[in-house]
Amino acid sequence: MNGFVKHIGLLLYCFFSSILLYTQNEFSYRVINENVFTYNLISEDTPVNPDNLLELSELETINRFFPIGTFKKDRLRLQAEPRVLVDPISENVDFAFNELYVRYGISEAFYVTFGKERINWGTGTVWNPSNPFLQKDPFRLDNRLEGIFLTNLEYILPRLTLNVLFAPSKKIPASTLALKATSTIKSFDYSFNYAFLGNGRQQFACDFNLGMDNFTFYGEGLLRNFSNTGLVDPLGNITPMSKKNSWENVRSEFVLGTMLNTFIRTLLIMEYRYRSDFNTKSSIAGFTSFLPLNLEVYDPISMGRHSFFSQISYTDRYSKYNVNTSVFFDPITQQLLCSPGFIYHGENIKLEINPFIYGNSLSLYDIQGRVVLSFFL
Amino acid sequence: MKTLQLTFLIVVLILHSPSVRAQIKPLDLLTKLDNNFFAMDMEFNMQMQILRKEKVKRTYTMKVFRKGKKLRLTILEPSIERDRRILNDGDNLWMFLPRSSKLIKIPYKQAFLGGDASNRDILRISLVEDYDILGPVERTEKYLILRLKAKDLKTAYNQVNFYLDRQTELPVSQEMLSLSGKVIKTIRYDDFTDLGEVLFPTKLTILDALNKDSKTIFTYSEITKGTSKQAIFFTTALLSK
Repeated sequence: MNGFVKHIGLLLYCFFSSILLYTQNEFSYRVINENVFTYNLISEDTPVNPDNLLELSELETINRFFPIGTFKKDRLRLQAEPRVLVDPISENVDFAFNELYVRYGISEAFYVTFGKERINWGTGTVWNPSNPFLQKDPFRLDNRLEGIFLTNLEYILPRLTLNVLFAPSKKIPASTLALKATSTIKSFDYSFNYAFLGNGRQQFACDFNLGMDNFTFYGEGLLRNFSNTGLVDPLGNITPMSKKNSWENVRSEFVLGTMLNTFIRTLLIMEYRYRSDFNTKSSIAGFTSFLPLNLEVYDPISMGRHSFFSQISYTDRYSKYNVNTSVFFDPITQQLLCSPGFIYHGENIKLEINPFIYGNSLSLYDIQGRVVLSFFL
Repeated sequence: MKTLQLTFLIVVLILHSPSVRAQIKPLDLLTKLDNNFFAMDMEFNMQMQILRKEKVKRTYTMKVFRKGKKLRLTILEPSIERDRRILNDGDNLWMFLPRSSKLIKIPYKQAFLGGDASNRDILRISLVEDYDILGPVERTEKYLILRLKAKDLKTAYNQVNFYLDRQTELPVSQEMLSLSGKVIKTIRYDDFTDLGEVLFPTKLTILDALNKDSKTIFTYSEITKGTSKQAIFFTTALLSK
């Protein structure tokens, strides 16, 4: 199926590219090349991976290419973001599309989109429980994520935006339908959304964002009739996800955060996540004793009820250098991850250096070091 | 007769004294500044250069659209920042990050792209809304001086002094003062271009009193008075499109 989708995608890409290049009004492109080098100092005494059972490599390297093209003609827009991943160690090449969609403006206010698109709902910096489609990579928040195949209808008014999204699946009952209304009152923005995620799974969510001169305060929360947390029982066994999803056992999750402009070039972000379907201290103790058998529910950031994230960053006057430190902490499992970072921005080049220091027995690594060298054309 | 002559002389002197002669109303002057510069509907390209010891350290090129209380800009260069967009919708400041397709709300007082100016300095919509007038317009040999005080703590600077050309009433420079009354920054306005009914400065130089080695220069080009963009163009929903 994946191969078929890739071929169809490639054909569509070539087809629309040639049509729109021929009749183009506006064409823009950019090529991004990211080269990621990761060094892993693998924990030897961790129950998650005793004696390196998972056969993790000390060195990982991957080259990513994103040749992104945007074609616009009148009210028609084609966006293509192919992704080519090259792993020089295993000599693997992987090709896919992060985004490939056609958007047509039926009017100035009404847009319809077909294809694969990133949907970035929610106001949280790290966690977006209200987004039923995509979750960010907490280890690199500006990673280019893979979109989903959907039809998106969007109606835009000056103070209200309505979205209807349909993401098909092989079987209609397994398809996703989501509705969202976004509005604003002065400097307070808010939205409500409902999603039917297939097989009876449903969620109601809302988010808000208050913008002030020196800070923003944001949050999002949801109620759902299913759990998407990897849960373990007090004996440490994985709790099977219920096939029957009902509102008798409602789960909730919410995120609160702030972005504070402490000095003119220093930004502090703090975020807290709560979830009602959490692992208790005793269940995690059981989970630990059964590792690595129940590894599938392992979460390297947080497995408990409360998760904290904070990041402080300083950017120099010329936006060339950025130094930052990110910290994740889970008080139940005592999972602590600290990642100081350094970023250099050139005109066409970007260098990111990030060590990851893990502070508990539940991590795969003692230390990880990652260097990302990116080129922009 | 002598008394009559003396009276006539006194009347002439009074009429020619600075306080009586054609008083310029400060609010009119402020509104004129807003209408002809800060709040004018327009489209233009803007180049921002950040310099240290007269050497350019960073250059950005942007396309800017301004309509009513709203302003939207897209970064064209450098390549690393291309397609990043910023929207001031009158109440909030938004940034669209094309890499992650993420829309984030950003604080007004944050440094604009790291330079000497804050977001509010660059993405300002109206002086009249942000400042109260501090007394009458002062006259010197060269300038008209308009002193303004921030309406609240939301504004980036407690006090602003505008120096306008005495003849043309065009802005020459602007001083931004801290709470203690110390000049923090100065903006110089140069290279005026004729936009039909108004003369518009195409070069702004921001000098930071605390970092005398550093300055930021904004150069405007391809200026169009008015914009064909509809109100919907200045919404967050369209910022990502």
